[in-house]
Amino acid sequence: MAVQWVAAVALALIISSKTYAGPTSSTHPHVWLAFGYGGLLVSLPILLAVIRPGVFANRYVIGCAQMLMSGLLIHVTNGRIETHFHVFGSLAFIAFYRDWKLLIFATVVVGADHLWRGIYMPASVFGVASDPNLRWLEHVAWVAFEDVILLMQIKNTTAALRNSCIREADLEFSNEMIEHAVRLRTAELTANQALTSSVLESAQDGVVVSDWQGTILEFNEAACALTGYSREEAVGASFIDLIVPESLREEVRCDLRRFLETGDSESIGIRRETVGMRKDGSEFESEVSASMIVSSDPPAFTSFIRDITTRRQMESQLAHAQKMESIGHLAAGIAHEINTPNQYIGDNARFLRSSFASIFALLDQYERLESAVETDDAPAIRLDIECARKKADLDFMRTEIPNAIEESLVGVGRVSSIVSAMKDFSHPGVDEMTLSDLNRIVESTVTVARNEWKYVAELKLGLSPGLPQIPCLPGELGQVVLNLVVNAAHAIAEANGNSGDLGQILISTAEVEEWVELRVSDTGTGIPEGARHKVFNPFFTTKEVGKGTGQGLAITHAVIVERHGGQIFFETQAGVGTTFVVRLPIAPVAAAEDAAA
Amino acid sequence: MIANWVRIAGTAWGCGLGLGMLAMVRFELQAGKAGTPPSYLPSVVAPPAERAAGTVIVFIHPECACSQATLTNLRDIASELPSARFVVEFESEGKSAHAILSSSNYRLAADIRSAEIEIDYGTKAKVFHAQTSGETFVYSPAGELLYSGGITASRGEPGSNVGLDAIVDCLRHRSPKVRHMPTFGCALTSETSL
Repeated sequence: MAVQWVAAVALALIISSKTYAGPTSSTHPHVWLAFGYGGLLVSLPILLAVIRPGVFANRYVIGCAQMLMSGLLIHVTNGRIETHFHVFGSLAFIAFYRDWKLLIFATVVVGADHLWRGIYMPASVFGVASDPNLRWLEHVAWVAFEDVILLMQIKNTTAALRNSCIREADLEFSNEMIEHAVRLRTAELTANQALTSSVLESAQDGVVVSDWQGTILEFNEAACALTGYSREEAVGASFIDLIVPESLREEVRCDLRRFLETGDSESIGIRRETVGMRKDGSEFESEVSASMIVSSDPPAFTSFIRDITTRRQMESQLAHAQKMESIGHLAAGIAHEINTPNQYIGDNARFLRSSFASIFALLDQYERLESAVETDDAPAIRLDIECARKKADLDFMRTEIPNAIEESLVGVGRVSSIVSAMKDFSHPGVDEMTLSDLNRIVESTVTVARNEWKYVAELKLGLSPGLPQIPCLPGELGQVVLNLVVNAAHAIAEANGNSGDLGQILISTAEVEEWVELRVSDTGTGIPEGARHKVFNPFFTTKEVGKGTGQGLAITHAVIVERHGGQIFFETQAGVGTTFVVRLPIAPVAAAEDAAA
Repeated sequence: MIANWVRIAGTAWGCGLGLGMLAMVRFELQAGKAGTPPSYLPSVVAPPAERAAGTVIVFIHPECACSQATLTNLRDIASELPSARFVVEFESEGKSAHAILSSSNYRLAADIRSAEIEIDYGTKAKVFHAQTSGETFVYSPAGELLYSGGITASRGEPGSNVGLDAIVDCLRHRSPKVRHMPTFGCALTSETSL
């Protein structure tokens, strides 16, 4: 619009810039017309385009101004036929709106412009005063001709645009549907992934995913805790170098290669027990189940690793317990077998004792006779007898034979007591509380465990006579006393080392109020400060490897406190020794609870 | 509020355009002054040759833009009727001969076949009472006035028009539809300004 206005002014200046009256000239009215009327003509369209861009009604103002601009240009160019082409060009521009109504409107405007010119200035438009109607029709016909083409173009373009918009809308809809589906699917995958990750992270076993070259791809939290490696350290590293002990690496590599080549493996697809290695280089018993991920190409593997150290320990203890149980059974049988010959050894020894007593009494009589007999041969016989007496060392025999018999009887008695103690100790425990004598349990246990303490300590018993019987599980209490005695012996052994000195173990019982109290004191190393709060913890031990499993005091605590409703505590002093105190209720626990109620 | 403002502006705009168009009409329809020409060819103009179809005398202001259309039409008539005599009088009030000869109107006149171009210093214009550039007088071979006025439809509008048709009719010895048409052009002299 503005350009056309400038063009109109320029044309007016070029074609008819001045009007003359003889020698005098002045600005031609066309110039003022172009400037003023043209400026007015373009003012509203420009204003609307600036302040209300995109408003639908603007196009009609622009169309009207555009067609009137054609009239202005025709006017200032003095009706040049070439200027009339501006009408056709303007209509073509207006067709860009693709609005047939606007095109018709513009046509009406230019037709009206020609009409009123035809009415008021017929000659200015048509050049002749005659046949104005026909001329008007001729002009309109040319405009109509162009309109027909433009309308067809508008129709085709609009249809094409509509189809394009429809296709674009369909495409956008399809894209939106696809994006929606993708979003849903992504959400599902994310949720699944989150679930999978949660499953992996919550697994108690270490889960390690590695590729066909053994490079770790995934390393869950349990694996981190198991091996000491962080996820960042593990992912990207070699599974074999990280977790497999050096002694087994070549074997694992060969197995992996064989599997990739032939599909055969000694470890993939099966669960087996092996040894794993932590970050600090320590090894641990492990159970590994490795399998190939079928959906992965190239192949990837998932390994489930479980630390079975504890299980192995428990299996070992179970085996030991079973062995002990078996030995206990054997012991009962052996004790029975020993008891029989021991019985008749004792009987025979007693027989020999009484027999020798009789023989020596007879010898006394013969000696009296010897001294009383006076014959010719008596001196020679007396001399032979004296030689035989000396040869037999009868005096020595009079002294030692009785001693030997007595010692044999003592040994037989001891064997009998050991056998009896073994029979008592190996007796299958009863599950019901029975009234038992704690002193007897202690004596039996001490006898059975003699080999544990006799080389390192002197054991003294200070058992209270008349100790009331207590409701208990004799077998389990025996185990308790055994644990305490063995611990005491081990503590003394540790304290004295190889010096050969013997420590002291003192076991005492006493009745204290409503309790029967058992004390086991030793002169061992004492319990270190840092271990005192953990002594009753399962698997905790201060002993060197192989000397204890850390189960003894834990079992003792469970038996005393949970099974008997008693108490157990200790008094210790480092470098001096330890006293374990066990208190067992005299009254049954149920009766005690009833009394309390 | 803006809609109201737009409506007011649109109304004012339409009114302004209407006024502009009225002004346009007024100017376009405002013909130049015309006097009463002599009924017979004055002696200031040489008589035509015996076989001339008639004499056409046109008064032109050398710088009147609108008269270019007149000269164009005159050229067309001269081409169509070579037997007629065409005289183009350039009014020289306040203009040097060099300026007149350099003007575009003069060049157009020079293109008219066998046109007699003369520079008038106001004498002939007074005789013919010519006041407006483009005013044309047609005389018969006998010297009778057949037509006077303009030969363009409007200012600077070449092409067929009533006046032109009348001149052709006159030169062909036919009775023209009109004998006079308004002339649209600049005043020839300062005395005849619009």
